[in-house]
Amino acid sequence: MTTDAHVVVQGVSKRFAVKRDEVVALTDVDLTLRRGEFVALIGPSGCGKSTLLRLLADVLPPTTGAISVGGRSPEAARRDHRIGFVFQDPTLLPWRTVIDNVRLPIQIAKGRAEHGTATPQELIDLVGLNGFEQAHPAQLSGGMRQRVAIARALALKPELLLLDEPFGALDEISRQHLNLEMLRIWAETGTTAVLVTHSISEAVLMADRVVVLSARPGRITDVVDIDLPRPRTLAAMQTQEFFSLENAVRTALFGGATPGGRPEREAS
Amino acid sequence: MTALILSIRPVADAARSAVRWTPAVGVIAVITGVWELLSGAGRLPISVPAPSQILDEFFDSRDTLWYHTGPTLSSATRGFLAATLAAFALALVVVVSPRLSGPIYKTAVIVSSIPLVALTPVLVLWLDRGDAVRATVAGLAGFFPVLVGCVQGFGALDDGRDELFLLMSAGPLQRFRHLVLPSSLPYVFAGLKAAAASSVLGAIIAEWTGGGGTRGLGQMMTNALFAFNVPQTWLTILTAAALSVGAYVAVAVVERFVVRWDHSMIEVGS
Repeated sequence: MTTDAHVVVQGVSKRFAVKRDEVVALTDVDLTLRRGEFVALIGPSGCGKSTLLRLLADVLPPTTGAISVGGRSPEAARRDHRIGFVFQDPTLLPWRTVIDNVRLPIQIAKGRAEHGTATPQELIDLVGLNGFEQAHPAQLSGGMRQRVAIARALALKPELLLLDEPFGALDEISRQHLNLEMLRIWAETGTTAVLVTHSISEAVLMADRVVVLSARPGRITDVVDIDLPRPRTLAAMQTQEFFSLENAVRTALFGGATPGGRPEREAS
Repeated sequence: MTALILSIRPVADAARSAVRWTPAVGVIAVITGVWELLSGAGRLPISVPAPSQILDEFFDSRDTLWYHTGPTLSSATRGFLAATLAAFALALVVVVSPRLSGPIYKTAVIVSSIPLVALTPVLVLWLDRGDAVRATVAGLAGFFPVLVGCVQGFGALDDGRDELFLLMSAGPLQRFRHLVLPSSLPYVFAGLKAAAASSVLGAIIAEWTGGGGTRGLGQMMTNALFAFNVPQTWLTILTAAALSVGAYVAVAVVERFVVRWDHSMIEVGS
């Protein structure tokens, strides 16, 4: 295991002003991601996991603390086009075809991306949308649109890939399928990845480490190492190790006291 | 999903618009038939001719009608284009400097509230009769809808897509060209369609109130009215309505070619 620190979050907090009040979204967050690591952030609604992702992407500035991405500020990394982002909604441009949507970041960067770009056709092949290059988003299913969004996020060969519940709006079958695809793509590109999710099994299936956050104020309460072998398969989800890791995450989430009698509330 | 895929096919499109237009055409046909029957039975006042009389008048004075329609259409077109350019430019100013949106909007409301019938004689004093006055009034009639369409359209951004452009570190021009402008097109075209119809009527109002000189559909209308030529008066009225609808449809056809994606995508925002 390398100790090459890629993303370093130190003493970060984020407060939002809501009218005259202040909401503490995140407090005292310290986190170090190794290069090429896959980390999942899990926690109840309002724990600030999406906020943390937006701090890493430099869409929001932290209130206190410091973040570095590959030794520079998130802003520098963003201006360098080194950060890829997949939203919960595909947020495609409906007036562009599939391949033109994938090409968008390359057009915007216009040669300013010094580390090079992927070719749109390769990306389409990578996410398995061969034959749909000239389709418009309205003609695609939800899962296919999200594949386009993933291809677009990879267009500038990001060193950091941020995934904000990217499969949260999909049905269970498409979701598991895309989870495995995402793992294959991550392994091929070698990028560092951060996945925000509500799903314990998704977090355990995907990640090297699961970071557990609690709400109000959002803070990291636990980190569970997932030492399952890769490449991971759906069959791995049936193993005893997988169950015990799920239980470890669940315990970390609910503080040991499993909510009695009530089924656990995972996001569908 | 199937419906969405079908909707982009021209054949299915043509079939669907045929279905859509059938009731409207049917209603017009029934009204015309009843109108003709009532007229034949002598149940209508003498100020209302039978549809067949209007049709006869059309064939008799076709040449006169073309002679008068041409200048009206060309002035209306020029006014419409000028109004579109001016409104688009002002909407851009609002985008660049939102603080100016209040003053620009208020001025536009005041300008568009001036009755064009009253304005024309004043414009005649400044610009003399003819094309300039006609095009100016046509432009004033079309200006406000385009402005509203552009300002609303430029502001109608999906939050997620806006965040995407921030993440990509897109510059202001890139953001306008690749996000703001395409997002705005359905709104802009809604304004353009209303403006096209209004511009034709604006040109005719200018002619009506003496702004057009000797040629123009409005001129023909007043001539027929004062000569108490009832069928010709109605012919000019129906022609004015047809031109106005035609202008609307012309812009709608352009919209079909420019805005090719599914509109519902923008409203749903996913």
